[in-house]
Amino acid sequence: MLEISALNKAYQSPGRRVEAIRSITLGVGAGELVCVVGPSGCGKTTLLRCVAGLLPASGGEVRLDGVPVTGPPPRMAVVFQEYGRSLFPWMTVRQNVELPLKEKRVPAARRRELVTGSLEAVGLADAADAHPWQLSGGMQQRVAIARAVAYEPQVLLMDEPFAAVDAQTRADLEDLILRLWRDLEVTTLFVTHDIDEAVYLGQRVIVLSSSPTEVMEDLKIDLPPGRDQLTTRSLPRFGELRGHVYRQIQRARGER
Amino acid sequence: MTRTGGPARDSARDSARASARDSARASARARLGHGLAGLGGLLALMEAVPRLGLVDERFLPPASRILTTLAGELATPALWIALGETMRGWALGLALAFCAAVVAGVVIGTVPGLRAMTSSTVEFLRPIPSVALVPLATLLFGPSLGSTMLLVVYAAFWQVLIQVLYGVAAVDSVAHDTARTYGLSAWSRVRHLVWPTALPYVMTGLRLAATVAFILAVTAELVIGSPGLGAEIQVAQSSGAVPVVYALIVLAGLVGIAVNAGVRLLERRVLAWHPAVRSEVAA
Ligand SMILES: Nc1ncnc2c1ncn2[C@@H]1O[C@H](COP(=O)(O)OP(=O)(O)OP(=O)(O)O)[C@@H](O)[C@H]1O
Ligand SMILES: [Mg+2]
Repeated sequence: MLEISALNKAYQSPGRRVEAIRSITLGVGAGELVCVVGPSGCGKTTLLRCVAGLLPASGGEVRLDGVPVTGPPPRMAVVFQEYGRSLFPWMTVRQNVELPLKEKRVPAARRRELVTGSLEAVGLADAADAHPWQLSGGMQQRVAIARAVAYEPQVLLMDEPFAAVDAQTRADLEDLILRLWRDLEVTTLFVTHDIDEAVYLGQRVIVLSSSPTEVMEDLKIDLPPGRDQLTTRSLPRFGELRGHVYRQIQRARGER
Repeated sequence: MTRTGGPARDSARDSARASARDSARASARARLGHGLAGLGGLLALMEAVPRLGLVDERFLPPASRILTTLAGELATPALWIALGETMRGWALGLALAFCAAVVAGVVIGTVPGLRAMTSSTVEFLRPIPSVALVPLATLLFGPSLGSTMLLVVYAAFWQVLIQVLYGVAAVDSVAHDTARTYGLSAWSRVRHLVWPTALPYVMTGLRLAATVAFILAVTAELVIGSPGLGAEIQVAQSSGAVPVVYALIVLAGLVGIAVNAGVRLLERRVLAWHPAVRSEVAA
């Protein structure tokens, strides 16, 4: 479904060249949920922006359904790390969520259904008529998630989407993503710095090395598919996997 | 999942908002009070200076005379016709300049490469004072509305264009990426992202342009003799009616203030979501 082959990205500015990504090769099957973890500044956001067709690669390529990605592909939703800046302050929460649907020419009745449903799912039904700047950071982040959910994407890219919410909300949102992914079979690439979260959500966890960035490990998460916050997290296997990823990231940081 | 809002919180927010509004109102009242005091002082001074013989009354009539003359002038239809002429030139010129500048600004700002191509031309044309076009206006239109319009449009156009260009350049890169990933068409991006981002700048441009346009409208009438307030001042001056000259100048000043206040009001309404306006939240 999504193939990233020998992707290389260097930021070029006068007098300075930053190689954010040395070489990443990685495939995500249709309907798969893959988590990406790596030390801060290793190029996770850069990777996502290349996959989203927002940033031209310096080398290698990204293919979606066999078609090289050159611009933002249709039916792909992205939740940006800078969630606050990705919302339009002149629109209400509802309008923000609804705009992409209008653009997709979803009929009005269905649109209302999707917007209401997704806002309810992230616990913001009451805030539909507020403007984003009237909300807390965590609430804004949930609006951005609701917008992606309502869009009914085929591919969902998320860049540390739960960074600004409390632990309980975070657990709820994790389960929301899992439910969504299972129900709609959304192919998901999920960037996080939280190792527990990566192991809990992912079918696979990709560990990136620190810069110059390469794939350090592509780890299959062999936990039972029906995940549950309490039982899954208390499985001995969960602890082993988490410990393994933790050591890998320590190694990645140590090699700097 | 945590529910937010709820009646208790709403009412707390409302009362915080109301108290912020009250304090904003109180400070506005205080400002108004200071302004009126200052104005009163100025009037007293203008009354005293000629009465004490510091300046010849023929050159500076006392404030009371100016105001009674103004009241008398306001009772004549001729003055209202002149004012109407001025405001027509102002409004038409401003509207034309505004529309042209907004379209030009959005196109120049959003089509890649166009900004670099046009910037030297803009930098060359912008500093030309509108008044330097007086001979050209006289030649083309003579003492008519056309002359007023030419000067007004030229002066107002650049004020708006420059602001629109700044505004279009201020589009947030993440918001832009968001619009692209969600498949917004070029037109939707202009309508839902570029235009709202630029709007505060556009309103600033409009405010500057409205004032400049009014100055240029009166200037054109004064210098070229197109019908309007400026021409009336010119006529009063040449017939030695000094109090009338002053009365018309005062009237022009009042109209200028009204124009500025009107645009500010419009600005506040249009930009209710904008940080510079949404004072309740900051409080
Ligand atoms: N626009 C840019 N211009 C130049 N260099 C950049 C740019 N964006 C990112 N970089 C560099 O690329 C590298 C990777 O950045 P990136 O934002 O992808 O990291 P990240 O893994 O998402 O980090 P974090 O976990 O902190 O979000 C960094 O060294 C950064 O300095
Ligand atoms: Mg990042």
